[in-house]
Amino acid sequence: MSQSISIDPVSRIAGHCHVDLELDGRTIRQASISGTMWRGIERVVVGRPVADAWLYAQRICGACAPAHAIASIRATESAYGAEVAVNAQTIRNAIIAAHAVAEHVATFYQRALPDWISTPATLAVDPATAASLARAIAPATPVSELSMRRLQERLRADAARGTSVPFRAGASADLDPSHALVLIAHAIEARRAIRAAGSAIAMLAGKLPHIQSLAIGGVATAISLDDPATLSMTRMHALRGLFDDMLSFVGDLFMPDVVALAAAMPAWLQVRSRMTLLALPDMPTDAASTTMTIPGGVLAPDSGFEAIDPVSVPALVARMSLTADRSNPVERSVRLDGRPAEVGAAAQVLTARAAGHSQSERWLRAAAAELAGRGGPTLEPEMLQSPMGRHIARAIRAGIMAELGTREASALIERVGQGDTTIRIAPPSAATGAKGIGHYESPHGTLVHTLSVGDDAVEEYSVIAPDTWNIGPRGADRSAGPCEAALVGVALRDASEPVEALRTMQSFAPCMSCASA
Amino acid sequence: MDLEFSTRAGAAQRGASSGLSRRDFVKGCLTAAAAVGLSGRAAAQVVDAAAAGTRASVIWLSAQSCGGCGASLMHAVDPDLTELMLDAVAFEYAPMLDASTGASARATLDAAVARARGRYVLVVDGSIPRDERHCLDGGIATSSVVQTVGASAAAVIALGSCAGWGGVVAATGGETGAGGIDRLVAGRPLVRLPGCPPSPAVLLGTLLQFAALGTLPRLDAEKRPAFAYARTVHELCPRRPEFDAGHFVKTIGDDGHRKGYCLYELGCKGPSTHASCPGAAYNGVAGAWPVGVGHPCIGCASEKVGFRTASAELSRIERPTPAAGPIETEEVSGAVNPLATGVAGLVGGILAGAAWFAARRLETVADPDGLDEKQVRGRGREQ
Repeated sequence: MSQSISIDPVSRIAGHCHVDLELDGRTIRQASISGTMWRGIERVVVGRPVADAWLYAQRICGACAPAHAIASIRATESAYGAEVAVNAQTIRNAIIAAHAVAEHVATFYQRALPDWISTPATLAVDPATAASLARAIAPATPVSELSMRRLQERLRADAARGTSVPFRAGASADLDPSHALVLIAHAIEARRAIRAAGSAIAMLAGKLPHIQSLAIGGVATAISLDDPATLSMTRMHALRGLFDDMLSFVGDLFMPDVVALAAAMPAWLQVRSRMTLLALPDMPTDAASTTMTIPGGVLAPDSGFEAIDPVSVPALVARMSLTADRSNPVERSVRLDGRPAEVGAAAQVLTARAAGHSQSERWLRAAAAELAGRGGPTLEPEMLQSPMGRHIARAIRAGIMAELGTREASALIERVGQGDTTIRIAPPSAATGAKGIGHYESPHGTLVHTLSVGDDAVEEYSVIAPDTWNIGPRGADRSAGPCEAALVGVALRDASEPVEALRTMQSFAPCMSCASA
Repeated sequence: MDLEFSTRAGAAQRGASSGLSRRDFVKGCLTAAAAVGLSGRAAAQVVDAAAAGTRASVIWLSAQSCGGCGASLMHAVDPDLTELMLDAVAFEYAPMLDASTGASARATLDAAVARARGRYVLVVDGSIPRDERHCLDGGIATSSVVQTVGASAAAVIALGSCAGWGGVVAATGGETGAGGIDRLVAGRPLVRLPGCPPSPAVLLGTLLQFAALGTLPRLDAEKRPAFAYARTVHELCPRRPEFDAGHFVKTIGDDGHRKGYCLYELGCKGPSTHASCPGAAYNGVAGAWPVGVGHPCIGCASEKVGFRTASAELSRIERPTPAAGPIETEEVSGAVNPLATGVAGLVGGILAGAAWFAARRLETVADPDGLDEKQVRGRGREQ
């Protein structure tokens, strides 16, 4: 028997979207996702002074703000042929790293978790059992029997007064309630890591969201050892300390929680559709942006790995085709060589690893070892393209980024300590008609901004966001995008509460504000 | 209700349940209350109300939103969002947090409106498009949902510049005819909290005051709370002495930039923007705000300025005031006379920052250039 159901609104995403599911019995046969919000930010950027483009483009998304800001200024720098001061690359990399940690932690603990647990079921759990389980999952957990009891009391009081929405019944109770209580407790702890990342970015960029310290050719973050009105040695050390805190959180709680959940629900490591994976190289360390910390490329299931180095990016962008209907601008999708591609943490880990990035390999092996240690299945690399696999990939990337953030902070301290406080290289002027491409591997995946310059004003502006790849609605060729394809074959226990569909969808960290700009 | 929670001791124990000490919990509420400008007794009422479980009832709707106003709440440090949710603010419905999705989420919203009718504060972020196709939820125009839910709200908060007046979405070139939410909620008490995004303390202070005292903060002609929007950024800016002394940054990265000089000549819109950013301590970092790290204000909270003027364009100066001449100070056992430092103690957090900068300004800064036209211009520029 076939039926159609739709999911609208979709909670815990930026922006608005609509999901249609065609079911055979209770199994999804076909899925179609469409955006239901459009603002036209790309059109707003047109006509602005070129130096302001990044301030407007950033407002495409408040969750991904630094990504759009930096991708935009890179597009401007590309059009100008401008180099970027090395200290500015370092500061931008630190922002990139901190933002990645914040987003990956928020995606798992705040956006995804409510579809995996049911809060009311946790109220009857024995706090001692839950605390003991917490220690078994994460030996460094700050949770205790007393703190679990207190947490239950607060949740009970919250329920009695009329519950705040995050603690309302999740639709599914297939996870052991003690485990669910541990995850709720750790989700509260996770906020410390998110706030630490926000503080790191505020030190460098004034605030998050919507950073405000970029300049063409560098950053506007003043550095001086002699003036407390600027980024000082004390601040830089505090910055490094924040990255240490983030790294501790990833190792102590984030990775153990994700792996333990995967071990408890191994069916969610099943890959339903293997798409081509795409991630571009990122985190430049030189002024010309040709030396990238993390390599990238295209990893196709049938034809293997194609490395993409920084100078090859424009040629790759030329192979991307964006379908956007002017009369219905809400709908847009993108294809690579005419085929869909998945972007995001799984793509970033696997392409970097294929390109020989040892840090990605090390973290993947550590995740696999931890999963095996908990009695979970052997983690084959391809399994990162499953719903639970994407979350494991997020924990891996959070760990990589926390390590890189520490490294960037140390590099800044050393360089500034040796007397280099240059934060900007004045750009040459851009010729009218110049075009530029700026790319960025955001926590959600590959982001590309392209612009062309008129008489000191932006003439054309276009954004291909990660979610244009992953969530973008059906292309003109009617082929399913990565998320739509991943939904096919998913069985729903209860079609009126399509939790399994939501777990799949949220594993892509959907952001409709980005997708429809 | 467990009596334990209606006493200060109860608050202490509740705070301890997730590692937050009584001191931190109280401090969090007081920070928000101080931000609203509540004096000691009223602030204590806010704490007691929060400890007693009297929560502000909030329904949150997002229109044409980037998600940034919600994201800034996620990053709030003091008070922390989770503490707030469990203790002081009941999010009856909030799409960015909701455990339910789809039809269940719609049911959650309907139940919330029914249960809290007449009591809840409706918080809306994001702009409203002219064409309803540009923002839909569950097949219904979001503008319609805002109107319906707004009709039963005790008060409505337009959070952020987009909800306030259309923000970046309404900038020239925007094709959706976007505007603020005010036309949808005419007849309801409306508070605008512009900013892109506004500091979370501004929202939380407003909500906590409403929860504890049943009143909204005093509003100006544009329905913005006076406690956060009465002054311009320029009036609150710690770099004001540099403006007064005529020390301006010429280009990013120059010597003056490193010394923390005034950013007016780079186009800083502080003089024409009403907001409290200088004391906001964004993301819990003292001194963190755009000018604080070295980038001019872009006027994102100002309808006339934000996303409507080039960032390099020099700002008009509202309420220009000439720098005061030397002030007679009394030697008070060697201590500094606070009058001489011109401390404005409006926003709680600013006190720490201002005192710190006041201490810095006691250094004599020699001005080798002497008085010139720019400095005269900087002192008393007419509008």
